[in-house]
Amino acid sequence: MKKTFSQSMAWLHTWGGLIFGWLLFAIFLTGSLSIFDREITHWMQPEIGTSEVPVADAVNRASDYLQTNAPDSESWLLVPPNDRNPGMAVFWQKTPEQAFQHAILDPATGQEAPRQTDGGHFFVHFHYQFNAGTLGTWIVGALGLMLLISLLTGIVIHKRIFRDFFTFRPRVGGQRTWLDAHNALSVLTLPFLLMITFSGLAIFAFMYIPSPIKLLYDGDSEAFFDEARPHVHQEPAGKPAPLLPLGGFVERARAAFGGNQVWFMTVDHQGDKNAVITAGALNEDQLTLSSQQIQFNAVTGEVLQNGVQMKPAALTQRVLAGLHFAQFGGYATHWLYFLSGLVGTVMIAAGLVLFTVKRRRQYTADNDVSTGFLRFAEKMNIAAVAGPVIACLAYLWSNRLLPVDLPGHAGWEIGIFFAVWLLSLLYSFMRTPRQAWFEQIACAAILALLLPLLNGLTTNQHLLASLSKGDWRLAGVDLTVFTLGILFAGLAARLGTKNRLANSRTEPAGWWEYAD
Amino acid sequence: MIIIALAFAYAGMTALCLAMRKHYRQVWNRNPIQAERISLRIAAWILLIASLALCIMGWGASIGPVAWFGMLSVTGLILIFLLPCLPRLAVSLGVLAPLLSLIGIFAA
Repeated sequence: MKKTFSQSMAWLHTWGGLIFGWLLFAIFLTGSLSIFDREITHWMQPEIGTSEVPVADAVNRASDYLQTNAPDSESWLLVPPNDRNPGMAVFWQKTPEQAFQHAILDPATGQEAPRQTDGGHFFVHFHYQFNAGTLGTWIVGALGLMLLISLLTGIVIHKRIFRDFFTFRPRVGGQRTWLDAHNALSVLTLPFLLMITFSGLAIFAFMYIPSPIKLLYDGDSEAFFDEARPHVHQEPAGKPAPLLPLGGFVERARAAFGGNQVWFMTVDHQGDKNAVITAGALNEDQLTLSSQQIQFNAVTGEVLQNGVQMKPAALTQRVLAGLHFAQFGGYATHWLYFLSGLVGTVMIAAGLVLFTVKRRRQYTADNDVSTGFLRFAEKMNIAAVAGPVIACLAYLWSNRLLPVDLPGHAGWEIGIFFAVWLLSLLYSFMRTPRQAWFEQIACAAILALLLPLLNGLTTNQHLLASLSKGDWRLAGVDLTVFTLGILFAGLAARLGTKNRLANSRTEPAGWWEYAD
Repeated sequence: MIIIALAFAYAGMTALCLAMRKHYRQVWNRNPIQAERISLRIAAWILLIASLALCIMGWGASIGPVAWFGMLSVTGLILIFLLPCLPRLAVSLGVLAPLLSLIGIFAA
């Protein structure tokens, strides 16, 4: 049978959306949380005081820490405290092949913060590589490409984009409401969805499309990057020389950045005569990512290069990266990104639910899937939607409940995230879909609503303290999670009522009311 | 600036929505006459362009449009959730929000 164009697009949208949506939900959720990664890190490190420590002092203390703990490392990376996060993060790498190790320091003392955590950075990391390294980045790339395809096929099969632009009919119920929600949420945020998916892919363009570099630069990616983003690149001279105090470079960099804060500093070949310091600015006034950069000789203090000269193609890629990273524009744009991201997350969930709701009803008539697969999809949906939500909340809970001095605290938190997600999956397969949806959403609601209370019981940075100090960075995390908790509770209440109605019905129950 | 731009974006989206027959009926239970639809549509675009101009004034020519698209999405969503539940409130908000935001700015 020959299918029409829009029928094949509908097939692709349905199946691509379902199979890839199971992981895309988690990517969108953690990606949205990544917007506020620094605020989350701040929340997860309650022992670091919010007192203002001069950045230069914090950087000097961090430099002392690195001299003691990583004296033989090829490169250091320092992320000094800024307006959004008071912690002082340090990363170091023995050789370019090895992975970075890292620690978060208390800027006031230069000692490791008592509660080591990956903080909000875990969400950033997870949403582009699932904590699975290069393989993870490839998987996320495939998912991103599929999302882009789903967006485009969605536009093709949605025949009434303009006529249904503002249409949402919550009272009709069932399949119609889910379809309305899926359509309205995606159409209204379409510019955001296309932008975030495309720019996400563009960030890793060099990796996903390696052939141009292989062809034009004989596979020498360093040569390519030297040309794309010209920067000073010094080989170690082999002669030892002491490093100038790093704090001094902070002020010089800020002056060169026109007063913008220093986002990061790297030190290459420290201890050598040819050591290089590179500082990048946190520039809120430009879309382009890391457009302000200055490089110094770390031994003499001489400026090696000020500013980055980018050719049009490189600039385009940096603007796309900037659009994705959303470092610009301050809190208003961060909130717009966060809300749009959550809307995208809900849109994916609505699409997943729609797949099963639609087929449950048609079950007796001609159906394109077997009952067995439909049961499987129903359970996977629960684990894919409720699972990551509970896992993210469990991650925050574990930060407070694990003993502060537990060795490998950061690793435990991440372990708990994945363990809870796995539990959600197993649980979904043990209960009927109806029960599992209700119980898991209720669990998310309880975890979210009680988080501010837990925070108050375990730290002195509870909501009353942070609000009276006017620290909205901290209060924002508690309040946002609490607000989401109210929404989950509302959803759970609706699901609960439906379950009771279903139980009191006399007619025979549908298959989706039974566990396997 | 941000608040006014947001209020204008909401008002613009509301006017654009009411210019459609089925949403006009949803609020006033009657069909709009042609002149109403045209004037709503013109008002909508004036409000939306004013909102874009405010975003560009506040954030500059590169970030402004990005923020504007974000505002259209968020205000559109508020509208579609308000419209089926509280249609009159959705419309009053579209009239009051720009006025109040302007008064607020000039009073401050």
